[in-house]
Amino acid sequence: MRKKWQEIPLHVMLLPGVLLTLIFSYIPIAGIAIAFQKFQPAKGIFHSKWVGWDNFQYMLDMPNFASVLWNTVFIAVMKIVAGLVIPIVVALLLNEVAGAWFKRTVQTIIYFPHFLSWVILGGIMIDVLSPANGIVNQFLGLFGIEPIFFLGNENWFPFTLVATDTWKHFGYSTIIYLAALTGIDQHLYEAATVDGAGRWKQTLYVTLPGLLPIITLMTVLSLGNVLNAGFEQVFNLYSPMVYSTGDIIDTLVYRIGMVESQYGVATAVGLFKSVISFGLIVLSNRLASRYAGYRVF
Amino acid sequence: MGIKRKSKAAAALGMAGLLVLAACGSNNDNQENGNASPSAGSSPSASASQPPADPAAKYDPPIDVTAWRYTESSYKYENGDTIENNVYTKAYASDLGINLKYQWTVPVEQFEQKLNVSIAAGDLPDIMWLTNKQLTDLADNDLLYDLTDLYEQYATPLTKSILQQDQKAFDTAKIDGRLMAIPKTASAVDGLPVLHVRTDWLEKLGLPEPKTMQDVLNIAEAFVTKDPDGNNKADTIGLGLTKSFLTDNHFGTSGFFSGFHAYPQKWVKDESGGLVYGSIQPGVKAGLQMLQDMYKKGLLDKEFGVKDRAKVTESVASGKLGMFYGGMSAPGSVIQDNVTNDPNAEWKSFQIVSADEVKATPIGKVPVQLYYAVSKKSKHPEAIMKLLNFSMEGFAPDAPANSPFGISPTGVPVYLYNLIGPEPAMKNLNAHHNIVQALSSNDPSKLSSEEKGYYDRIVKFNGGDRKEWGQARIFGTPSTFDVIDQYVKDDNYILDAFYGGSTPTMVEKLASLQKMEEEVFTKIIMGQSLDTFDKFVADWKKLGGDDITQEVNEWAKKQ
Amino acid sequence: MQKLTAGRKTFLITNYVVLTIAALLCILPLINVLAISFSSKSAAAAGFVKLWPVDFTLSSYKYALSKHEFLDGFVVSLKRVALGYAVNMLLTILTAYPLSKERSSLRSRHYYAWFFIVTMLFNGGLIPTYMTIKEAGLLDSIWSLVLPGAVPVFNVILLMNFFRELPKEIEEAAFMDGAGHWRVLWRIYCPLSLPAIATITLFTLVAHWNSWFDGLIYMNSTSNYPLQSYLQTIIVTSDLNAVASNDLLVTEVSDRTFKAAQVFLAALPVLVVYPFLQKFFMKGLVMGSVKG
Repeated sequence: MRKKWQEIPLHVMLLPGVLLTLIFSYIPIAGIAIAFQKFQPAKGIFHSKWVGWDNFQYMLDMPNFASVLWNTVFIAVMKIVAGLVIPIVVALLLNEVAGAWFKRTVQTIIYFPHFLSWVILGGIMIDVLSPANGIVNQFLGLFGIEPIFFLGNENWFPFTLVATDTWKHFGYSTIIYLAALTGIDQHLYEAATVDGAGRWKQTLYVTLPGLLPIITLMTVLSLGNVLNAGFEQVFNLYSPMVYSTGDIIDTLVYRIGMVESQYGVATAVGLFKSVISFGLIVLSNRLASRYAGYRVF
Repeated sequence: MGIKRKSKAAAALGMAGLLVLAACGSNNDNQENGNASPSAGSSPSASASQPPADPAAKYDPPIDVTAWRYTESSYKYENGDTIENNVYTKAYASDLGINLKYQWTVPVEQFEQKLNVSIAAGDLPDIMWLTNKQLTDLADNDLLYDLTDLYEQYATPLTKSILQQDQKAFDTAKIDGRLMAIPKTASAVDGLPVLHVRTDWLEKLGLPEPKTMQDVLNIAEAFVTKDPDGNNKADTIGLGLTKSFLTDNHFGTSGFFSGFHAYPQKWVKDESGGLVYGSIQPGVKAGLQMLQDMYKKGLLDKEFGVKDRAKVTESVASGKLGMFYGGMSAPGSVIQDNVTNDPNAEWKSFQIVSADEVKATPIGKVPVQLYYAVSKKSKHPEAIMKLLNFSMEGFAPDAPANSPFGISPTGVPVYLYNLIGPEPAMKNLNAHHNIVQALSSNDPSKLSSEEKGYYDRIVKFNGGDRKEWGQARIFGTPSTFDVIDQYVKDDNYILDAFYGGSTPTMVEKLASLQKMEEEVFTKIIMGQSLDTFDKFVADWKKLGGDDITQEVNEWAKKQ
Repeated sequence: MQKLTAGRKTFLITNYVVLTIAALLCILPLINVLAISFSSKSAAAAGFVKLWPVDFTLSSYKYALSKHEFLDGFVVSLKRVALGYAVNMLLTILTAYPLSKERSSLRSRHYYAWFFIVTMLFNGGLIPTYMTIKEAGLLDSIWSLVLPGAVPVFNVILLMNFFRELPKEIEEAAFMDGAGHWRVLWRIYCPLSLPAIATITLFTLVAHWNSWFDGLIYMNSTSNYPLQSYLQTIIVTSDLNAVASNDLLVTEVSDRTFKAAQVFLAALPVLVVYPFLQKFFMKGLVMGSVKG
């Protein structure tokens, strides 16, 4: 219908973003070369020794790499699932609240924890989750449950990470769904009411389908985090007692770096993570467009 | 739509700025690439062109010297001072004709990272603060100025006497026999572990001061079972440990294991004179056995495995913990809050104790953690020597008291601003001696300004201000330095025998080996079978430890 | 209003209870931090402070506000947020609009889309990025905190998807009347997407306010640090210098009250912003529906 020249404004709009991205993202991406070097800061990128796939080999040869990889994926996937489900549920629950004051207050309060860093929260968590006198275990004690050493027990530790992470971020993530809820056409609810649908049915047949695009979007994007289990959180909460289930790729790389700044290995690990994340996102985008009929990108 | 209009305007502004900057950027790019790489290899012979100069001469006209450094959270400023502009930078300019310009200053936590990116990006200032690792790296790539001759030529006898008080520490700055940097020498004995015990609890429970490991065990037991805080609750702890007890200075186990003549995480000489890794020696097993028993009996915090220093400090401050191994600074940094909170609390520091007839010997580290190096491209490589001499004047026996370069009258540690700040090997211990003497004679006139700062606070404590208790228990008497002094008098301390950079196998394996060690030791204390220790020793050797041992011994032969 | 069924009533009560508990779980730790910030140093160090200050004092706040780094950092942060928000928002809108078009309107759309998505996952790491910033002459400049993240791809994708959901009829009608892309974007898309723009506004403000790593790496002196970079340096204490004699003076390090006060002061601006943006999320505002 429209002609070629009608595209021109669209290209013009994209131009500044493309230029800046080219300069500040693509030029540094060339530095991925470091992954194939025995990088020495004193020699720089241009004079460091090339070592081919050695850094990747080093990564795979580490005695506990397989278990660390598993920990990372296990924790990250649980975080992704909880991080998707809980905010949606909370957004729906908030949507059912009639009182504007209550709704606003709750919304505002659950957004707070996002702003407390893990360094500060680390100290609070040790108290709250203490098996001796932590409030959580005192509460569980009411039901006759034996005290659980959430931060020191290797079986519980991954779940502790997921729970505290979800707690910290669910309020913040809820905002996206609240914004999406405003986009649902009010006429659809009226029509549903006329058809005799109750609130439950309205939620099921109007609200959820209305949220589907954003849910799909968030799901696809979150898959990019499947190898990010949250360095700052784990670093502030873990200890030798829970290394076996709590050590993740990022903490491992950090400790290797403590011995000697190994930029080659760190970059190789980063590249490994990027490639896998990218593959998953591309794949899930395809699947979403085939099965949910919704293309994210 | 107010938001939108504003954002439009600001964004337009932003875009304009960015295009200009992008343009500048590409210019710089060319220039940098044009001259950076070739000159890195060539060696400008600055010293040859300089006439032999008077070490104390002032630069006229003044010269610019660039540098980088870190700062710490303990740095304080007053009267509008900054790290860029203060009594030191002013004195450099007025006395030496040196205008010091910092390329950057970062907090110490960020130092390593900023150092690496700056080195990689290739612009080195005249004077650099470096760690051992980067020192070796830069020297290997011929980017540092060889200071051997300049040191001989310029360093005053005073400077030499201070820097070379501890020759071993000084020599860490040499690479293949050449002096590639000025080491920031400090006191090794400051880092020796001490046993801290709550003496008001000892008195209350009628216990003797700790002389043996058995005493420590008895005290720990009594502190847990005999309710020293008198609240009728079993809520006290016998011995304080953090989750990183193997490496932590306060609440660590270095002093404890020394009681078993074992030195985890340090390298020590064996009978044959070779270096061996302390964590795999039989003494460690005995130490772990005792810690395991203590844990079983409830003498350790059940949750020590997740607690960091701040958390264990909390146990001290709230009056739940009355004994731990720590450094000489513990009274000020981790005990003080307990003394402030509880008017009855009193602590004393003791020498570490032995589990058998042989005296326990504490271990420290070679006290050089920082080096001052000069870029090969520096136009005035000798400037560092003038700065060094200038700094060392403060340590002269006849140096004026109350100089403006120490601690200000309001207690601000001005001396930390100094760019080049090696310290005499026994600086703090000497300060202790001087202060104790001044206290007994009521005459602080001979004290340096730094010492006077400590003295004033101790006088306040003697006047009843318990907030200065920590100061008195570090520098006064009785104090932690009384204990350190005893170690020195008895010549009863050793140092980590390995102080080189990471060896190739360390780079590859150390992270995993350390993880294994921390994991195994923690679990043994918490009840895992002691046989795991033997397995750990075998695994450690097999998984790279033997190679590391060999490399460390090769390194030792070269020293 | 129709009469509530018993099931509906049960649900509503449960709902209120659940949300109240959730809110409590979120606010109690914050109150704890707040109480610590108003307590005396030693009481806080001993862990005596729960939800109410012990030995009430304002000294931490006085101390925090008297430090020039804090005020400097605050100003740098404000500048950064203002510049960063302007650049981010403009580029997000400008980039999202063309990408929200179908391939029929912009044939190269997919290339553009993947061009941006790649940067979300791949990066060169610390050193190459630092070198790029340095070569661009941005070291120690506020622009080093703004330009590298000028196109927040996540937000672009979010907005693009909101744009796609807008009813196409309005747009078609505007084109029929002779309006160009620019007019359609500013006059139709933006006003209709206020909830999404408000969301992204919040994300952008918070992201700029909270980021600290870039400041630490690109700035050359503490006086140019944004507030969060400075806070990071005092909150994360190091044990590196355990042997150094300076350790004698590190009594501040255990000063939890001071840290708590700083954290709270730093979080306050973003906590305050939210309620103002919140009205854009309230239902029905945009579509001009019956509820109004």
